[in-house]
Amino acid sequence: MSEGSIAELGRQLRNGSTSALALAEAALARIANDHELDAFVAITAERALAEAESADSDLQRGIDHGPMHGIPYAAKELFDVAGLATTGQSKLPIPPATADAFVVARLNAAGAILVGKTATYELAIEPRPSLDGLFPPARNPHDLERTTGGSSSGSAAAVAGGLVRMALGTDTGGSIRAPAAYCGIVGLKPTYGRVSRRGVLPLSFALDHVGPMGACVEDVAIALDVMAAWDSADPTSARLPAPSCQAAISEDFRGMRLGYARAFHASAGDQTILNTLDAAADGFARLGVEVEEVDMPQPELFDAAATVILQAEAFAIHRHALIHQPEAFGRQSFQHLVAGAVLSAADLVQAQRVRTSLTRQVEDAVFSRFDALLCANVLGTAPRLDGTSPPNQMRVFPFNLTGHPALALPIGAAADGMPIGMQLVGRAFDEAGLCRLGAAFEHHIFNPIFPLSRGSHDAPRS
Amino acid sequence: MSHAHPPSGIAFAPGDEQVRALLAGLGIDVSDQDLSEVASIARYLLAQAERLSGPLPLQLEPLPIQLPPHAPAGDLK
Repeated sequence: MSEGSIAELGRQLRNGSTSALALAEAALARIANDHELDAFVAITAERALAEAESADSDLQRGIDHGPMHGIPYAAKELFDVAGLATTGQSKLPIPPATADAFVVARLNAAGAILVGKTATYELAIEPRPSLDGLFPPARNPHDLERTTGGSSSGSAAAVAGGLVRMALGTDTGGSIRAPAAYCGIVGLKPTYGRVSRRGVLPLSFALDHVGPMGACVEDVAIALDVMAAWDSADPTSARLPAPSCQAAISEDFRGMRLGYARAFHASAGDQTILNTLDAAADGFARLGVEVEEVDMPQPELFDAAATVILQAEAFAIHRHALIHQPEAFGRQSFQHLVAGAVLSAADLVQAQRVRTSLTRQVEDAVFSRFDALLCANVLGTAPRLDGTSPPNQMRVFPFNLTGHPALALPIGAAADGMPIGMQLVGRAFDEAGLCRLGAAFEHHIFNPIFPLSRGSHDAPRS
Repeated sequence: MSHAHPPSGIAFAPGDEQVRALLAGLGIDVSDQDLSEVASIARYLLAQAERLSGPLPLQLEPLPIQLPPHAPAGDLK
């Protein structure tokens, strides 16, 4: 397993008890020796070792690039890495990328060490992992016969399996947050516009988000602090200050106001999950957070609007290849992508109008009164790889639609022993506030042993 | 993407061959092997669109591909 938190590894690097090269070699060895998870689809060993030597050289000369300096990490197969094809796990003939994605370049400039690319569901649109893609599906470290959830499947497996402390994911319909919940790790979908999508294979221009997945809140906070920056080449990139999420972790959370959207999930999911969400809300209240139930609009409306937008845009993005290279798509991807063609221009415009209306409703109902919202993430545990599990309800799409930041946190185990999670949703561009609340939960209410041993984690203390 | 299909809806629900013909008009061939699933997903999408088809207040709206309303353009590039 990995050696410690990113902050702890940073301390070891700076006191000379380890080196970036040693950390990179150890991560590469863990990845090479893992024959169960299928988390990685490409290993960037040569690049990693060169970057690590450079990171060590810089530190020896007194050049410190910050908290990610010398830290190994991985990127989902949707991110451009110079010299490698960004396949999206499809068989489409895609030439090697000529440059790193914006966030990979940011992390590289901050001294982080890219050790490889992680598995995804094909083109991020498959509803479940298929066996006819370019690579085998990643497996859940808690139960190898279960999925990790998708589409940031390999990133979740890599972190939960202890191969790396942090991996990049994308989230268009919960693809960071659902795998985080299924694998018992932390995932942060930032505000729309906070992190550049340049060099990331798109699924839906209006709903795509890029974010970090990590073993604890501080790990994702440190990563986001590097990733969050204005990018003049991404027209949706926000030119706004990005307060430090890592610094926010040590700030006082007492007195913060938290809305609990209990009715948003109360009729769905198994009772253990509902009870654990209640326990999480009670735990915050005992810590001195002001918790009050709040009503949200119907989840079905969010899901409908997001589905129409996603499917219309995904079809537009892949239309040419669907017509001219249909054989390059896996069957599930082909089936889901071409179906988007039946939607009309009026359907898309109406979905955008509903999006605007729902976002305003959330602003009025929640963020005019509360600093953050607590709600369900996925209302079930990781499905079986053989496709026999019934579908789980989710509450992830609403915040792709509204663009609010959402932090996925583990909160315990369900009756089947598998991890379950929740979401904390914040005001637009207040990722720092989310990290403050999330770290408080992690420190005082539920702190999973990392990486979680199968079935050994406890429910929140009540 | 990672979400479950809710029950299919009640709006315009084309048959399998209607979906095949519609896609063929766009230059997309759907095999017999894929047709049932493609048509099922298409009917689901149309049902989702139908959920959104009610009247909304007339007001100025952002562009179809745009930023969420909480991100005023003045704050952005």
